[in-house]
Order: sequence, then C-alpha cells, then structure tokens
Amino acid sequence: MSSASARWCVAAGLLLAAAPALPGQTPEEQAHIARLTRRYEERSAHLEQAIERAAPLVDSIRIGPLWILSDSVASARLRDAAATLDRMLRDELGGVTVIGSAAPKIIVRFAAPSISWGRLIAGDAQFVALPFGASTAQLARQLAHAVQTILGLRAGASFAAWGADLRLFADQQPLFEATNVELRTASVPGATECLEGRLDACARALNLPSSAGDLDAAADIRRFVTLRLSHRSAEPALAESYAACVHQEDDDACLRFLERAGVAEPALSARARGTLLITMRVLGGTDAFARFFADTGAAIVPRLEAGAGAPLDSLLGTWRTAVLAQHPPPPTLTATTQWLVFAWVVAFAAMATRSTRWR
Amino acid sequence: MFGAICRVQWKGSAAAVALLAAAAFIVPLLAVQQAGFTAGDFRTWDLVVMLSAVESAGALFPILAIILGLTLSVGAWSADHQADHVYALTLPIPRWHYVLLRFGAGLVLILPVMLAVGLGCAVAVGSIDVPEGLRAYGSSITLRFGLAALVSYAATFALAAGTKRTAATVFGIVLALIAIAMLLDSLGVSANLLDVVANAMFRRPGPFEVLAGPWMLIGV
Repeated sequence: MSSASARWCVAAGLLLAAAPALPGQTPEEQAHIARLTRRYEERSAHLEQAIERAAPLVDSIRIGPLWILSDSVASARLRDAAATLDRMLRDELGGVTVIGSAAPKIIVRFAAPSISWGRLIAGDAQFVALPFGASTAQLARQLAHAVQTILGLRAGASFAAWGADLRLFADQQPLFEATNVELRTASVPGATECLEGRLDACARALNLPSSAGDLDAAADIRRFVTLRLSHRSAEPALAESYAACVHQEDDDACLRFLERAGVAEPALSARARGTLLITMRVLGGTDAFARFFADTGAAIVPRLEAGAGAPLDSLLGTWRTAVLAQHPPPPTLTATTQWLVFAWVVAFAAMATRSTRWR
Repeated sequence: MFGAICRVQWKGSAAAVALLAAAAFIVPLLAVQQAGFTAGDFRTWDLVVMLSAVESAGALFPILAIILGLTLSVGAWSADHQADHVYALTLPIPRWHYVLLRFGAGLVLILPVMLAVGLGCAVAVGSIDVPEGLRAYGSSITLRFGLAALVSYAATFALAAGTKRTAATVFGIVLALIAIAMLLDSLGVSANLLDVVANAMFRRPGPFEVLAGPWMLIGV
C-alpha cells in the first residue's frame, strides 16, 4: 500500500471508528464501514509493529512521556526543535503532564526537499514527513501540531462530542477575528442574543448545554432546515416533518426533522468553539489544560469550568468580550497606501515626461 | 491650453467614459442585488454566503478601474500617435509641460466615472437596510476606485508615452519572465519567479497594491 493510500485509509478508519452507525445507513453501508474499520485496525497494528522494530535503530528524544523518534539526519536541528517544543509545552500547557502517562510517539522522517509535508496517525504514534531543509522553527511547529493531535485524540468523549478545534499554539488574533465575523453573520440559534449580552445564548451558540430555552431559535432552525436541508425533504421518513416545519411553521416539527435526519442543531463552528478553549487557558493560567485533561470522562462544562477555574458564565463572559474586541479591520485604505499611490502616480508621470520619444 | 486639451481628450473619450460611468453606477447595485440584500430577509443562514457574493461582485471594481485607466491613457495619446506628434512639436512649450497637460486632462476624465461609482454605492446602500453587525463602505470603495483608476492610468500613460519599441521592451520582459518561470518550473527549480514579480507589483510598496485584496461594499 502506498503511503498516500495508507494515509487515506487510516484517516478514513479514524473517522469511521469515531462514528458509530448513523441513522439511515443501509446494511451495505454498515458492512462497508465495518470492512474499512477492520482494514484500519490491521493497518494500525502493522504500523505499531513497524515502529517497535524501528525504535532501537533511530535517534530518540524524550520530553517527559513523549517520544520523538527520527533517523540521524538533521539530528541537531531536531533536538533544538524538541527543546523549543518543550518550552512551548511549559509556557502554554504548564509542562508535559497534560500528555498523560502513556508514551505517545512522534516519528519524524526526513525526505527530499520537494516532499509535501504530511502527517499520519496510527494508534499512539504520529508520522511526520518533512523535507531535509526544514528549519528548526518549522520542525518545532510540526512537532507542536503533532502534540496537539495527540491531545485531541485523548481529550475524551465529551470533548469529541462537543467538537471544538484544539489550537494550542496558533496565532490567536485571526481565530478571534474569524469568530467575531461568524458571531455577527452565522445566525445560529443564540448568536444574536449572545451579541446582545445573554451568556446562556452564547452557550447555546457554542453547542454547550444551555438553559436558554426562550431564545428566538425556532426561526433560525427553520431557516437552516429550509436553506441547507431541503434536498432531504423528499425522504419518506422526513417528508412529513419537513412539510410541517417549513410550510406550517411548526417549531416542534423542525426539531423532529433534525432528529430524524441525524443532524445536530446548528451552532458556531469548531474553530469558534476552539476560541473558548483559548479563553479557558487565559483565565485558568498555564495549568488550565492540565485541569481540563485531568478527568476526560467528565461532561464538557465541568471540565471547562475546572480548566478556567471559574464558572461557565464567567468563562463565556470573558470569551464574548474577547471576541467582540477582535473586530477585523474595516476594508478601508490606510493613509500609507494612499500616499504610496500618489508617489507612484508622480513617478509614472515623471517617467512619461522622460520618455524616449521626447529625447 | 489645458482647457483645449481637455476638450480634445473629452471628444475622443466621451463615449468610452460614458459607457464606463454607466457600468460604474451599475456595479454597486449589482453587488447588493447578487448578494440578495434586496430580498428583505437579512438574518438568513446565508449571510456569510451573501458577503462572499458581495466580494465576488466587488472584483468588478478593480477590473473597471484598469479598463478606465487603459482607455484614458490610450485616448490621451491616440491623436498624437496618429499625427506623428507634429502638433505637439509645433507648440511653444517644453515637452514635459505638454506631457503633464495631457496627463492632467486624463485625470480630469477619471472624475465622472469615480462620481458614478459614488452615486451607485449611495443608491445601492440606500436601497437596503444594512443588516445588524454589518457596515456599508460606499465612500471607501469610491475613494479606492479613484486611486486604483489613477495608478492604472498613470502606469499605462507612461507606457503609452514611450515609443513602440519601449512598449515592446516592456511586454518582452513580461513574456520573458513568464517563459523563464515556466522553464524553471519544468526543470523542477522552485524559484517562484512570477510570485516574486506579482508580490513586487501588488504588495506594499508596489504600485498596484490598491488594486489587490477584497473590495467589500458591505462588510463587517
């Protein structure tokens, strides 16, 4: 199996393994999923064995429980990158304890400069393919992404069900700016009320359990059903609830339609939810993620509260303030751009007067 | 003399300017109509899609600015080129002075089209209720359009002021760059020559920075 197809197989396997049988799947589809899942498990086992065989032969670096394995090429740079990663983990996550007691492995392979950068996940190991010329900073970034993925996979069922992006080392400003735009434009149930200051509405917009029952959400859900799910209106199991939702404006029918269609209530994106985790880290300090990961079996809200060291309302309030503060810059011209245009116009005019035609 | 040159240039370019002014008036209306802002229900799931439509329609503004600049610069020199510059050479003024008079006359002709953009933006924005959380940037778009047309006009005017040989040299350099980039690419050398040139032209402090980036009549 080529590395590309292996990557697809593993990625598909991971998705399928994480997704139990969905309502509406045919027996053929379920059998296909089972076949793919089996192939993924076989492939994972094979890769795990390969890692075990390769481990003694390669250069290894330990950061707490984390193993970074590589061939000896670019060893010095990799060690520098690992040191940078160690610092990043200490600064952002309060150290390596958040990784847990298992020993996840990051296997770095160096290849030709033209290689496309890629990562492959197999069980506890992550393969990172990098070109020879990768700088220490680029290596550190890739290692950090790998750690992020490891943590995401270990974050527990409540985190997976909530569906937030875990972006521990990303530049925060663009994420908050994008969330600001999303909150103003996405029109998910709760978004407008959240903008107006209702924190329970913010919870609902972020797909967190909320007591915000009296929101004007029915209209939002009806629009969602009308605009995004109309292609399913003819399905026999959904036709009645679709008609009642859209044509008779029956709010309960809209919820029934979503449930039968196997579609979750619309909410802000995973990226927007990820900004709540960043806010939790800001509120809770460097140990926030250690507390968040301490009990991966707990529900998401207590975990967020433990991480932030504050009640959910306080976390949501800080998040909302942070999001509203990051209004993206308006699409207007800066004074520098305007002056530059004039400078270029003068330069072009001067060129015209010095044209060869006149000399 | 400036008035006379303006009149001559206006006669030569009036039809094109009128056509471009009409287009400039329509583009903002098209942007809000394409995006569905005129449909009445703003708080829809597709507000992000609507903003994308505004952005897509906004791409017409820089295209129009380039066409305007090109049209005016060609119009500014067409009479002189046809008469082999005999009229210009008989005038009792220095050459640089004559060039600046021609240049200024072209600049004046940018104004009606810029005004048409401003008017179009005002009518377009006035015809809708801008949704909560969004803002209209009509005056900003108008100013940007004016600057984009100005720099496009100045660049093409300078090129048109030269001889055919100068123009051929410039186009030759552009074609050579493309050919070299293709050759390097086929040899597997990732020199990104065209990227370097494009960045030099369209990123600060390049001359065409004002043309690059989204043109949002309605934005957050």
